[in-house]
Amino acid sequence: MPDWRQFVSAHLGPLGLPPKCEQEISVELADHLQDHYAAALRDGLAAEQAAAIVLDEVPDWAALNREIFDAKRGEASMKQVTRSLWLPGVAMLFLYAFLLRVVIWTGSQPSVFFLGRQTPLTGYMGLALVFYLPWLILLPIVGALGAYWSKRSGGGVLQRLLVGMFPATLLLALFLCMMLLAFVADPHVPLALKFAALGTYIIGWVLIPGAALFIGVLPFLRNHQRPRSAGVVSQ
Amino acid sequence: MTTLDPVIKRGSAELALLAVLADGPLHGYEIARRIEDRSGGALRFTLASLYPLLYRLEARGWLKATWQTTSGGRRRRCYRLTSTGRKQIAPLRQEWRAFFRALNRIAGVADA
Repeated sequence: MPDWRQFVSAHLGPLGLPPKCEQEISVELADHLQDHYAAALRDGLAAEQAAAIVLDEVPDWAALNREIFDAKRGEASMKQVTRSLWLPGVAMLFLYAFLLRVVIWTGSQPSVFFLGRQTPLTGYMGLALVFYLPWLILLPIVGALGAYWSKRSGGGVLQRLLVGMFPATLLLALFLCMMLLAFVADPHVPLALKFAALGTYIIGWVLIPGAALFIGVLPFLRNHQRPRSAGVVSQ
Repeated sequence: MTTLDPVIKRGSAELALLAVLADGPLHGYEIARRIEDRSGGALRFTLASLYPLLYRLEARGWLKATWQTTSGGRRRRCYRLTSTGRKQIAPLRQEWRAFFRALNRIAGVADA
């Protein structure tokens, strides 16, 4: 009896799917071939003829590989992206805003830092950075929660990073759009002022909160490799 | 025996699959055999045509696959219709009925 599991593993090749899923597909296809082979033998065919009939089941293994990948990832990928990126990402955005609201409600006072210098063209140039320290301290939890959620939903490393950093990333995109709009809609406002505003927003609402979120995301960026169980089973 | 054009086969494959699974859960090879038997050999699923379709329907939520141990002690991946999948059968049947009726009016393809 041919070892159909070994045969399928050798011909199908890697599918680019999670190892457990690939192994299940390989076993399932091998079982199909084995059943077909056994049926052909029962019908009175010689082993070689039976094997030839079974081999006709798949004229092009590379095409089958692509079709299985498309079937598994194509239609499912949207659902998967929703589960592992958009849903946790939006939830983290709400949590990010909610925690800030809670920190303000509790009467926490913001810490304000001024970064400024004198320039010959514009006079005093400064950035006023406003931080709520208790909120910044809580942000690693948001980052960790987002990355963990994405990981549990099957998200890859990039998706975990994006979910954990989702609030900061979204704000960055928003500020850049606002800046672009400001350039187009309001050409009379001095450039220095526009850049100062953008700098304030980006440092205060993107970079520093983003760094806090990233601290929480970090532990979830590693893929723990589990030992792969044997893909080829002797028949 | 007359075999069907692959394009028609592809279009009818979903209905054929759902129809045989309406009777109960089956594993892949049983599905292929059941379709071949019921169609009198006109419809034949090879491994290459069957499994991508099964996985696509599973991803759509029309089928649910679970590993089950058969009476012979072998673990097999069995497919069963979900309630969403079951709901697709009637509209698909209607669609194909309308298609064959229209084709019959044009080309007179119905059996005498």
